[in-house]
Amino acid sequence: MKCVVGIDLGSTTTKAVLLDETGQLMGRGITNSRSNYGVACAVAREEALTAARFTQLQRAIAALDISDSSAIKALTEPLQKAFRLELYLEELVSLKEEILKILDAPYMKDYRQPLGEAAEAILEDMRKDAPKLFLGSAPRRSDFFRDIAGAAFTEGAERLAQEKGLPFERLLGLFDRAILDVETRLQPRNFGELLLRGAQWLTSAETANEQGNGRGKIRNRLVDLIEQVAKTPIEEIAFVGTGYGRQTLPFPKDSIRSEILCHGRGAHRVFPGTRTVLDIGGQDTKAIQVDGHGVVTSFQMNDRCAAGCGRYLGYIADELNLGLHELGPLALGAKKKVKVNSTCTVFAGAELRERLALGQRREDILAGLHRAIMLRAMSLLARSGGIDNEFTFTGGVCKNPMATKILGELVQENYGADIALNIHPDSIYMGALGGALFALDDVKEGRAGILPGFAKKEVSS
Amino acid sequence: MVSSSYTRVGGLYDTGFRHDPGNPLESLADYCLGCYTNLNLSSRVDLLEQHIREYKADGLLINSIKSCNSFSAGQLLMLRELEKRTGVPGGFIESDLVDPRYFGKANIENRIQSYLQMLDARKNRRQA
Repeated sequence: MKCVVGIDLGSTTTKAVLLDETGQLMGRGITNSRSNYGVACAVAREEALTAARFTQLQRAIAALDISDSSAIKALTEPLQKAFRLELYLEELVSLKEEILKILDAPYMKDYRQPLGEAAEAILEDMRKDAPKLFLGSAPRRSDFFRDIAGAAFTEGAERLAQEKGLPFERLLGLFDRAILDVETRLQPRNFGELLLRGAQWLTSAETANEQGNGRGKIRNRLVDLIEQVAKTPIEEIAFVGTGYGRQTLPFPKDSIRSEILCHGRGAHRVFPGTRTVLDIGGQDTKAIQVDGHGVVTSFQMNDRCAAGCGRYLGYIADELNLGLHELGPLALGAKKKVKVNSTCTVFAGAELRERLALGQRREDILAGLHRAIMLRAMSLLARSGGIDNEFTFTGGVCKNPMATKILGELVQENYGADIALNIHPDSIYMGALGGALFALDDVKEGRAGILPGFAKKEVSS
Repeated sequence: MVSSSYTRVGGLYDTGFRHDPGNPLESLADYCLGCYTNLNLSSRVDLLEQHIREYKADGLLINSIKSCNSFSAGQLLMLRELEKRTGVPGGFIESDLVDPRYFGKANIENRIQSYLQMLDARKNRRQA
């Protein structure tokens, strides 16, 4: 099967989107950008490829014309969970290898035995706990290995350090060092093999509480389908890179598109009525005008200073000891909006503490901060030519309910009630989606760029 | 690059102005009354419109300078007006000539690249 790839290298996360030749979404992947864009790029692409395989599997199941196809269909979700579990287990093995390597260093001589034993005990517990973590129905907070394994390792290290009187910092230090190497180590995935291993989790879990003998037949058919999908090659026929880190990668020049063009195009694809786009990401804010075809006609972005961007909210959350996702809901409880003078990231903490010292409520101050950010975005929008119907809000900050509420109010205040405000839960992928659409154009125009030895280059970088 | 307003700060030579060593004070007064930064906004727009048409320019890029008000005041208004009159899309970058805090290389490269790609995309769209 042929497909095109768009990759968006953001300052915080790297996203990849795979489209088939007809422009249908096949898969998408996301990973933290780490300090290595090359690896982030390859991992996001691998994630998107995996998702595309699942899409293929779903399509194959949907095409089945048999009475028990619904029973097979019901297995796809548990199968995806089992696949994630297998990946996690594989990464745990890498983590153990890296930790043992660190313990081999001469300066670790005095700690090698006690720390080594403790680390192995923690990792063994993590391995045992993994099925519960992945196969259960509770949603995970993060999909990134660094976050999941980090939380579990910290918990284990705390417990063992107390029980055995070991130095906690040193024990956790093992993880902090090892995770860097685990994250930058690239392992090509064998989809079929991993999924077949995953399928074993599935069936053993189900035979425990299911009677009847139809199961064996369904399992066999599923295995057939998996093998069939895994055998179908996915050929990447074009590729476009965009985002903050695009210049640092060995992308061919013709395969790089500005993120402004990509965000405009992606937003227009998801909401075809879009004429104005606001994107607030980690590092910058963009106001973009597009025509009826999604082509950018005008844009404005913040200057060098990152005031009022996602990073600003990050600092505020740190200052209040809150998670980034808690800020918006908390601010919704405001009784009034405190007037905030600065959206400067550097002064944010000082102003916040000053307001708190004056006895103002956290909720009210936060409401004022959110309003200050959105006012800044409104001025950028005005500079780009104003807001036309329909108006689409994208980027990480559009997940913040207070930000979207205030934006809605300001739009109505300044441009009237007739402007439709579009927000999509997956808007973080808009840039990569736009990139993939440009790649599709390149194919049609006979100038598709594909990276020679793409994956190989990443490994050595 | 086919034309620039910056080169008109020294005087509108292309419309015939010359310093006259025989009449130094009078020609200096002439210069001061007529140089680009002493024109009002509508005269600047007229002048730039004329240049865009004369050179059949594909675009108009404005560099806003934080510490130079005589150049930067009203630039966005001028940009919108010129877009309206000529249909030529404008681009906007911000920096400074003396204060390095206002200069971000990556940001400016990003905007110029985005602007040039936007011009290409619009050209392709018109041809399609």
